[in-house]
This record gives sequence, structure tokens and C-alpha cells, in this order.
Amino acid sequence: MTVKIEIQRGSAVPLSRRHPKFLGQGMLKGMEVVLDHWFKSFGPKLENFSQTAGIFTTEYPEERLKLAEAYRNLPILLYDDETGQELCTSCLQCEKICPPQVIHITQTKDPSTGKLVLAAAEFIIEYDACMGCGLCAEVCPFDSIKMDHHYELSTADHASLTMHKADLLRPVSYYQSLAPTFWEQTKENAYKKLQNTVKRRSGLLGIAPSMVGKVQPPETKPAE
Amino acid sequence: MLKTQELQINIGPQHPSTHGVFRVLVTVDGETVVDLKPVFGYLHRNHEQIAESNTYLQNMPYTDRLDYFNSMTNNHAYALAVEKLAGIEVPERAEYLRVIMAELTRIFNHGCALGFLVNDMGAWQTALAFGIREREKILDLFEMVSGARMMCNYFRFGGVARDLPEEFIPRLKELMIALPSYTDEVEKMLRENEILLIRSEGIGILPPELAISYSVTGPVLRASGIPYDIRKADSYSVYGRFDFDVPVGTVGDVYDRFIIRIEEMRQSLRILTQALEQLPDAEGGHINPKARQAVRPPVGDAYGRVETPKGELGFYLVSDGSTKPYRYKVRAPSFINLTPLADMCRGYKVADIIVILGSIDIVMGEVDR
Ligand code: SF4
Ligand code: SF4
Repeated sequence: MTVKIEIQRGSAVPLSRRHPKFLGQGMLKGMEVVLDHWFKSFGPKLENFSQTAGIFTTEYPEERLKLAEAYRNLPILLYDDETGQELCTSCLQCEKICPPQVIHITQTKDPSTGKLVLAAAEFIIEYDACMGCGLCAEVCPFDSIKMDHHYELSTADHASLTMHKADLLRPVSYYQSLAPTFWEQTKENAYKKLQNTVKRRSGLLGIAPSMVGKVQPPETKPAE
Repeated sequence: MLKTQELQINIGPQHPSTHGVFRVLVTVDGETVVDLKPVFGYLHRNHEQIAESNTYLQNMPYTDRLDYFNSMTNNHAYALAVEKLAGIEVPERAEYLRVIMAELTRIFNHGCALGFLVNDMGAWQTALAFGIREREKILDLFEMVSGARMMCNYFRFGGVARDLPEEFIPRLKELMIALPSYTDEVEKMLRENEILLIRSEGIGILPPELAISYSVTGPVLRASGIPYDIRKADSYSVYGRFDFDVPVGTVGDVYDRFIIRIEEMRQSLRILTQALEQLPDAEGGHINPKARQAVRPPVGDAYGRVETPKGELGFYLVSDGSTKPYRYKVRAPSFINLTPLADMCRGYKVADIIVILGSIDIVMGEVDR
């Protein structure tokens, strides 16, 4: 039974049921498809024995596919290569947006004045519960948190998947090598904002721990 | 007359042919199914309650995980519901991008559903390999635009997360040349296959009246002979601008549900071709710049629905004027299509249960939520 319903820009087409003319015809047709693929794959061997055609399994981990620039796995934090200044200002936007609530930020207080400084004292991401949605990277106004391309994170040590700030920080040049066009688009904006941020930091506050000792802390005093 | 005894057997919950964690309690008399009771809930993860404690945008990545095969169409339904609730406009280019993603999703979902169905009949992997081959190419495209292959999280309120990268359109055009030969290949390989015909013709018939009263949707309903497709019946996005047909079955058995998917892939290809022709250039913008992602919709309710590859997926949202939904309800097609399973299986053999279940095309992530 087919119900008649008016359909605009198209029609309801009843499916035709086809049956093979003789027993075995349908199966022979199917085998033809498979054989066709077989000849396409191994046919080139007739000319040159080492040649084959078609789709092959990528022999991971020896071979790897190139990842798309937009590829996202888990978030990382960026710091400037030269000055060691972290881009993060601890504005808490990413902490608020994170759907499973796995980002935990502690803001920095200047020990001498007790005021908040635009830098994160601690920045924890629970990698084990992060869903890799990329919303944190999307919402960050300072281009500080970005999605990494590194995917070989499996470990037997569960606790090691709670990432602290020192584990998350990567130089800007690393992110640039992952996503050159994306970085090109936001570079100018990110550096402009970083300059403003640095003006309001003092001493070693906001400098990536791995860069402490390698860079000169800025001399500017924090703005009132 | 031989005296027989009824026997109760359990299929699942951990069984490769139940497509996830799903239990079927079957009462059999010899090989014949007397009664059957589906048992759900093994994958329940409190989706709706979690969603009510999240803000609207935070739910977007969670919708990916409902029907984890077709995250793009899940995003689409949810975005539609929120846009309706908050009154957000979508630029034209974004609408076309959404349609392109949704139709690509439909093609690979149907391709794999066919493969899994034939798998369930015992033709181990050959047909599925063809479906997976095309799916890989489409997932590569998804990865290029959204960053992830399966959990795309690509849609935003008022558009999509980012515009297409440069190499997307050429790759898609290449794929569009390859896909018609794929559908032809599948058809040639399986449509007249004698074994498939014996296993599927006249098996698991779902009469149209019963299908309607169970509110079944999607290819399962259409295979029962009712040309109900939300893209036509309640045209959303820009679907009103494309010419395409709605294939309908004549008997409503497993075979109809099998070939309807081949035809639907062809129709999706037609839509894709037209969408690519009409796609406005990038100046249109991929997202409405005025749309705020941290939405605070006015008090009210809205129901957004789309035709996903599995049927009607709807999100019912009630807003109390805050940043979080007061009520969030998912109408999951897999769940509702699964309810008539007992009526479809009664009187057939035990081995047919697996085939009938395969022909409904369910994803347990969506059934249990
Ligand atoms: S990473 Fe970005 S969004 Fe998160 S606290 Fe730092 S500056 Fe703010
Ligand atoms: S990727 Fe998503 S889940 Fe992971 S930290 Fe960022 S916002 Fe949270």
C-alpha cells in the first residue's frame, strides 16, 4: 500500500523490486564487482611486478597521515618564544565554557601589593575527562589556549593525565608549525594583546617556568 | 503432533549483532519467535539531566555523542531548536554548508548501514568495506572543516564554527565524481543477490498503519510506503530550494529497507550537486556576526527537528529566561524506531531477528542517551 501525499519539487518514487533472471545471476554480478577491483589492484603488476593500485592501509606507526590544520585533540597553552611571556591572562573564560568542567585556574596575586596580576598561577586541565570539543580554544580572547595535534597520550598512570601549567605550556613557534594559516590570521591580534598584558605584569610573574633564567624579566612596573 | 516447549533466550547485552549494549529477551518455540522483549538502558548516561545543568552552547558537543555516527545532523537539530527559541537568523552560506554536511553524513551513514546489514546476514565484511571506504573519504573532509572525524561539534548558533578551508571544495568535487559509481557498485553487488533476497524478502514486514501508530520515522517508515520526509514535509534550512525525490517502499520488509537506502544515497547526491552549484561565496559569512554564542533566550519553548539518516531527530527546549535550558528533551529516532521490533519479529525465525534489527539501523548512544 502506498499513501499518496503531495510533494513539492520532487515526487514519491516507489521502489522497484528486481529479481535475477536465472539462479546465480545476482551472485555472479556481485562477484564481477569484486573481481573488477581485484584486476584494478593487481593488473599493474603485469607491466611492473612491484606495482599495485588502489587503497592501502597506512602502516602506523611507521607511516602517518598528515593531519588537517583544524585537527584538534587536547588543549595546550602558549608562551612567546623570545620573552617567555605566557599569553594567558587568567580571564577564566575557558574555565566557564568547558562543558565537562575540567579546567581549573588559580589567579596570580602580586606578593607585594596583593592585587591580581594578569597571569595564571596554576592552570590545570584534566586530560582524562576532557572531551576535546575545542570550545576553550574558540572562546579564548587572547589566543592563549589552542588545540594540540599530539594524540599518543595513552598511559597506565592515570594520575599523570592531570596536566599542570608546566606540562601544558608550548612555545608559539610550536603552534605555528601545526597550524600556520590559523596563526597567520590571529598573530597580530594576539601579540598586540600580549604587549598590553605584559605592561601589567612585573618580575617573573607570567613567565613560563621553563624559560625562567633564560629571559630577562621586563622592567616595566605594573600599572596602577 | 509433536509436543513442543517454549524457551526463553537472551540475546545480548554484549553481543556483536546487537549494535551496541542492548538486550533482547526472546521467547522461542523451536526456531520460531513467539514473543520478544527489547531491554534498553545499558548505555544510559543522563544526557538530558546533564544538559539541563549546562549552558546552551555547552550542550553542542554533547549532542555529538547521541548518534555518534552522525554528529553533524545532531548538531543541526540542536542548533535549529536554539535558533528558534532565541530568534537567531542564519546567513545563507551557513545554511548551504549545513546542508552539505548533513547530506554527506546521510550518504556515509546509509553506506555503512547497508554494510552492517549484510554483515548481520553473514556476508562478513566485504560489503561493509565498500561503505567504510567512502566513509573514510567523507570523514577526512569533516576533519578538515571541523577538526574531528566523528565528534565534529561544527555547528554554532547562527551558523557554523568556521568556513571551509581552501582545499575542501576541490576534494568534495572529486568525491562527488567517485560516489555515484559507489552506489552503482553496491547496487550491482547486492540488489539481486539470491542469498540476500532469500534472507530479506517478506521478512520483518512493518505495515504502514502500524508504523504510523508507533510513530516510526526515517527510512523505516518510508520503506513501509509512506513518503514522509521532514526535508519535504516541514522543510527547514534551504531544503525547499532543491529538487529531489522521496523513495518509498512497497512492501515494508527488510529488502525494502535495504534498497531504500541505496536510493536515498542517490537523492542525497542530487541535493549535494545542487547545493554546490548554489553555494554563495565566502562574503556571505559562515556565521551571523550578531548571534551571541552565550545565548539567553526569552521565556518560552521550541521544538527543532531535522531528518537525520535514521529518522526524525527533535530537540524540545523550554527556557526560563536563564542561560541554561529549563527542560531539554531529545526525541531520538533510533529509540522510537526500535519499539516495534517485537511486532516485526513475531512469527519469524531466530536468525531473522538479527537481520530485522540490522535493517532498522540503530545506534545505542541515541537509544539510551
Ligand atoms: S586560556 Fe584564554 S580564556 Fe583561558 S584564562 Fe587564559 S586567557 Fe582566559
Ligand atoms: S577541549 Fe572542551 S572539554 Fe577539553 S578543556 Fe577545552 S573546553 Fe574543556
